[in-house]
Amino acid sequence: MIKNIKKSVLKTATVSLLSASMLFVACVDLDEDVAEARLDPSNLTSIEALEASITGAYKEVGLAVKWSQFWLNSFGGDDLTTHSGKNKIAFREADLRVLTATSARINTAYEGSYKIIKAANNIIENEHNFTGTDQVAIDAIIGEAYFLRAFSYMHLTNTFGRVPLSLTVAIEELGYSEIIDIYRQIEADLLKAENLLPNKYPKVNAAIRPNNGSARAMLAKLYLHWAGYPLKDTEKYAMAAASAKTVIDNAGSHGFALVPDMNTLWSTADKNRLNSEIVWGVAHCVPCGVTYANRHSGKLGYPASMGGWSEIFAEIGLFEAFPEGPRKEATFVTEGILKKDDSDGIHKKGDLVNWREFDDEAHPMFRKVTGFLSEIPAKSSSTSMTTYFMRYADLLLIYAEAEGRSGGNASDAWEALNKVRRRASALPVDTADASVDVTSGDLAEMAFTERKWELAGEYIRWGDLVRMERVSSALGMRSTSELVGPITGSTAPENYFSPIPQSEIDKAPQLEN
Amino acid sequence: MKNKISILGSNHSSLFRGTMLALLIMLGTNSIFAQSITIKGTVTDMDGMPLPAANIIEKGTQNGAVSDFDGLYTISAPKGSTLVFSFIGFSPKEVVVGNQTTINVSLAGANTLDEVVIIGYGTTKKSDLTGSISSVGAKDFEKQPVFRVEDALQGRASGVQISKNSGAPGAAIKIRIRGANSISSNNQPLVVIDGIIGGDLTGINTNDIESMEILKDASATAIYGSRGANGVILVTTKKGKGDAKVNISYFTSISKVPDFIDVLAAQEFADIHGITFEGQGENYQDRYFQTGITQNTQVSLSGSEGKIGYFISGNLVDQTGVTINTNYKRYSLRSNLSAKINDKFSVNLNLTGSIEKSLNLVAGGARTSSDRRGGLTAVLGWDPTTPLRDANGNYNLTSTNAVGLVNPIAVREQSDAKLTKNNFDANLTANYKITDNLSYTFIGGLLHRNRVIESYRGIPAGSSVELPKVGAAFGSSLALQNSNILTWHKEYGKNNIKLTGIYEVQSSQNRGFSASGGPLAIPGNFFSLRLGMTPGVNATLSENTMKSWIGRGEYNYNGALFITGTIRSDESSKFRKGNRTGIFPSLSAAYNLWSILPENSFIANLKVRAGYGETGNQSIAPYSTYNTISTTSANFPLNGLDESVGIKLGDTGNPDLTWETTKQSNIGIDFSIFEGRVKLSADAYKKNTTDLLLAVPITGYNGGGKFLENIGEVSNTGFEFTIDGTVFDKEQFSWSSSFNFTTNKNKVEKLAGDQQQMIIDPVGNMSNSTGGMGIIKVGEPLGQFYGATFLGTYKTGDTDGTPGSAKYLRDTDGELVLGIIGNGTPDYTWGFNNTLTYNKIDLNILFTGSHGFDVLNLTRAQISMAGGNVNNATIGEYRNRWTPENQTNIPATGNNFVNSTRYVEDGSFIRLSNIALGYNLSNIKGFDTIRIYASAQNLFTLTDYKGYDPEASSTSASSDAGSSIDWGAFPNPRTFTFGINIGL
Repeated sequence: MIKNIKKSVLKTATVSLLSASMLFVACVDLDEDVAEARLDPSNLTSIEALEASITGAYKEVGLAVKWSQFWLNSFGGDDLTTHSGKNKIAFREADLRVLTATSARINTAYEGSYKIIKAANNIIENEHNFTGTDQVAIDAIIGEAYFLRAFSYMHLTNTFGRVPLSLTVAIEELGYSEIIDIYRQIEADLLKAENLLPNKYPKVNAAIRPNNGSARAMLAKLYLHWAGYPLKDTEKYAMAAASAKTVIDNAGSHGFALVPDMNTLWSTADKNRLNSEIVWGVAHCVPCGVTYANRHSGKLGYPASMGGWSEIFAEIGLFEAFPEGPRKEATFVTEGILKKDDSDGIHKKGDLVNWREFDDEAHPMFRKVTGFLSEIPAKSSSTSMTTYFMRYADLLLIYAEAEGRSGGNASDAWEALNKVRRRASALPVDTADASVDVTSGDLAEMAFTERKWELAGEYIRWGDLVRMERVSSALGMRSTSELVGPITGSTAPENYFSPIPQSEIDKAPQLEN
Repeated sequence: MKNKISILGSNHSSLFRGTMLALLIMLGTNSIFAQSITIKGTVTDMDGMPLPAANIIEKGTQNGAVSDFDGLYTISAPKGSTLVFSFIGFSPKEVVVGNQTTINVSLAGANTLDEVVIIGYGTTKKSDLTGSISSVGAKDFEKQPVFRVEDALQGRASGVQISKNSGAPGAAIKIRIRGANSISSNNQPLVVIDGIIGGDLTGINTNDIESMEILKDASATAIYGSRGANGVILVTTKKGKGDAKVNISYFTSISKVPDFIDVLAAQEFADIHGITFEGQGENYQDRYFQTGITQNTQVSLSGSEGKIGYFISGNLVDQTGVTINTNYKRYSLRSNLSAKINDKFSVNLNLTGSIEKSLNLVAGGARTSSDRRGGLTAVLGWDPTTPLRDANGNYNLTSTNAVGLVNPIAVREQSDAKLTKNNFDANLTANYKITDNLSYTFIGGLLHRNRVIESYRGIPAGSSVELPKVGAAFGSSLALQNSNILTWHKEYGKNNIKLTGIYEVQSSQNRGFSASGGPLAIPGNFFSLRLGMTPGVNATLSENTMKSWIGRGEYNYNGALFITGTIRSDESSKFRKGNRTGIFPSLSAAYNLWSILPENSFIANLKVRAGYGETGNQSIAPYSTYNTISTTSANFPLNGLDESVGIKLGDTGNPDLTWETTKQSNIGIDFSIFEGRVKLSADAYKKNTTDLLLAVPITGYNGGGKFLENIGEVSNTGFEFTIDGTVFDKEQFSWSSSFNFTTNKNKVEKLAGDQQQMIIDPVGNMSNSTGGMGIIKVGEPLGQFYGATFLGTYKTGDTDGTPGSAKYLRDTDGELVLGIIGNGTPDYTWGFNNTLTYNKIDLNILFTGSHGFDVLNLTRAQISMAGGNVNNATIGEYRNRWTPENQTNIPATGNNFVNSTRYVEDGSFIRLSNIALGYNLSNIKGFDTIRIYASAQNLFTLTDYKGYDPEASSTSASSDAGSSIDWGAFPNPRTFTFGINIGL
């Protein structure tokens, strides 16, 4: 009896073990269910998905321009310099024109731009797959994708000259494209963007999402460069002037205007940072997350004597030549409170001293970098200061200069220049004022010089020197007090562009030539 | 109360022992008068070979004899006495003298010859092995104070290289069996615990381990098919048998970092960098490191009662780290039950659960957070003139002399990053003998893991002071396995055949979610998560399944010729239909040459082995064949005022992916000399891995990232041997020794198409590198460092560079010449283990060595000059930097390429890994055994390496594309231990 029970228990056990294995076996399904675990790209066709995709693209913009190395090559300009030591080697190398393929930080401008391009390509490649009732909204986002791609290639070619031109998300082997082809692609993209974008982007207080005016303004900049080095197609000056004028004539519809007080441009108060002067720029919102911070401002513009990171300084030559007036005061910070004793013991921690007295190290500072101590503590390197790619003042001066260089002398162009000059003197911008207005002379050169003052420290001057092939003459004026020292690299056009990063050549040996 | 009981107990047993002793004396005296008879016989081994000079002793007396050359012996002994037959290397045998006058005895080989060895899905006799397998048994490490499995394995098996990349407890262990096959995929061996695939060595209590078998060649590992390519470690846990036994062991250790790195003292730092300061400054290494204390308690109960065998154990490890504000705790419980229900049916159920808790041990213990500025490099690069706290007792968080960092000690002190790992494994094995020749085995197992991260960082690591941050993560994984094994076994005369058929299904599922709070305006604790101002959340899921058919045939002719063939078919869900099935065959043979050896041969037990097999690797993430959309790091405040949700393209999937395949040939030889006193086993092998699952870096212009492809080929050629010897074996004093040696040559045979090299970044980007620091190049081994050649400094008068700046090899255009500057993989490693016993004292000494490799010392590079987050050099040698008056080769200005020959150092080392002195107290009333011991681990290391530890590395334990890169890696401490083992 007991034996029988035992047997039946055993049988049951064996049978259940076997059936358990069978059950397990029967469930085996070897096809992955991707939709269960991941988002399937082919399902993303709604406007919401499109909106999320352009957000992802903007995230790449934010990441790319977060640090000052995005503009590394522009430290070659006669407006910007850095500390003579510390970990600022790459900036010094750019300043001295001795950048190499292995210079530190050289990747950022290159790779960051292409990440934006990849995100834009993803949208552009799928532009016809998005459906919805609001075609205007769909068009606007697709227009933004074209705009972002154009912006990125413009930054790339202005920095590196010839670069690979990738227009798809597919992985492909590419060589260098000629600069003319890159320019044509940028032009085509901007024209498309202009066509698709609205006059003013809805639900945004400033052109941190571009409108068709932003696209046209970037075309003006493109043509201005097209007319100068390296392509020197001077016919393009007229197109630059015409494009700029179109935007200026319709500035109201785009919400573009000079802010009355230049100082407010570098303020991080919401009402100031999202302003009418942004023709195209990035908003940095620290309260939204520290990851969105501007990291090329605040502490980076202060010297170590003030507890700063000593990264971005004004050149002494610029400071000394800078015309006196409200704009100079709005542009520079000339004194600060010491965070430590001077090694010579003259000044103590807590003393307020002029920049020339800084022990570590004597450079004038840019307000555009440091911001205001009332808003950004000296120890802060994460700020909400807006990154400007193009200010309305820039566009006004492009118009004036392009008009002049194309042989024109339109009064509107003089007025554009004068608007900037009036604001520089803290005068009402739209009211003619003989004390500052200019009405005759070399319009192009006056505008070119005005750009030097107005846009100093905004990584624009270097591009201006390059397109006019004036690097050599401008850098020849370098102050002998400049601590980084005299220019040691070549100032000839062959050395205008930054080398392509070695890390890229490692991955793509075909780029080595 | 406790004391009272034990005193009572000991009184009882002393009485008992006294009586027994008296009885024995009486018996001994009596025997003189008992009637002796003469007994003759032959002593042979199991194969009938005579054993000359075997010992025959009448138990309990001095009466004995020795066999002659033909194994013949004669002895007089009384009826009823017991004869003990023994021979070195064989198990002794006892025979009670009855009426017989001839007693022929055949002795079985001790430890090795007929030891049962666990192989995949079965067992075999060690003498029957055709493949290459190393065994490490409990006896090899039970006398050592180890609670980490890698300590039990290191230096004890040939062909196995174990690198402790991090001295932190619970950190991943790098184990390589016969070198690395794969460039991008995991190179860690497969771990199988009691038949369940995919176990984890860090959570297991070493005291629970009965044996570990390391399957090395493909003929042994092919049975694990697609996951056998990196070798397999089979762990078998203990089972209970016999009388109830209680073992208690306890040890306590103190650990310290061997030597501090020479950095500038506060005054030197100030003088050199022109800083004025008051006070003493601070020695930050002194602040960071401390003496760690470990307490380990293990208790086990084992035995059998009727048909039920049991092994129950518990383990508690409590460790305070060698750096401040860190600790590690592990609690584990195991219950192994076996039931022999009847002659045909037996069942085993093994259950084990463990909890591991750690505090502030991120990145293998090297850092406080994932941010490198919260780790060792920050401690070394921080300003020594600024003390931890100011006069008011507040932290000095920033320093104008170290602006890239926040005070790393404050960061650590205010960090509360907790990791809890809960593991539960269950494993049911049932065996049913269908007939005498046929049996069915069912294995059902589950491995359940979950991980909880709760972190609060009061002062986050970074380059400027930020608000506190909170983060949380929960991950849960469940692996299920079902194996069905049919075994058929039959002898036909001298032919012995065994066939095994297996059907197996495994699935695993990982799911998790995480949350972060962002900065907290109000400092709080982890549970203030909700107060974070920019919260973020994420969720993940991945699943995979594998289905396998396996067959094995074993044939043995007369115990002389052995042939084993296996074939496994794996179908993995990670690959698409059509690329999914991998077939992995193997064939191996062994031949015992004892029959052809002349009598009286110097060499005995000679066996030769040869085998070939194919194995695979599928260790890629699920969904790798599909394009996916990523939701991480894609949000952005589109309107500049609040965050919008974003998505972006994830990795580009490759639908054509399939198995990575390794083909391996092996030849081996085993023999003994000096009458079995010295045993030698040697193997040579060649491995070729093709269709590598290679993560090819995507060019920047294609958006960067990586793309998985089946391209390239890597080969490994190697040689390994083990010598086990008995140097002395006298009654009072014995000395046994074991030496193993492993050498492996690795070579990249091919990359994609005509691609000749790939530059990689094994430890991520670092400021001031020339780009990637690693290179994978055709014709060269894996683990090559890539960078610039350092030529000292430019001197006054040099026109091609600034005097005092670093001089690097440049071409005529002034561009840096970049190339291979070192290799991080050892050419050869060895272990030398000695056990000396003198009466009740035993001494174990284990030396390990690793030779012919370089370490890229990025820790030193980072603090040698301003760069990255370090603003002023802190390294000691900066005292002797270049000055116009003292033009040395230590640069004082200019570029400091971290990946240059300047920072490539010889990493070779010889280490006294373990030295342990034990004393066994016997005749203690109430106890079976008591052993007390003292030991030291890593007592000394002979090396030229200038960092903390040449073995520590910042590269991942699973990868080999880069190894031996020390970027703030966590050193292995020097440890002193005192412990006691008690058997009841």
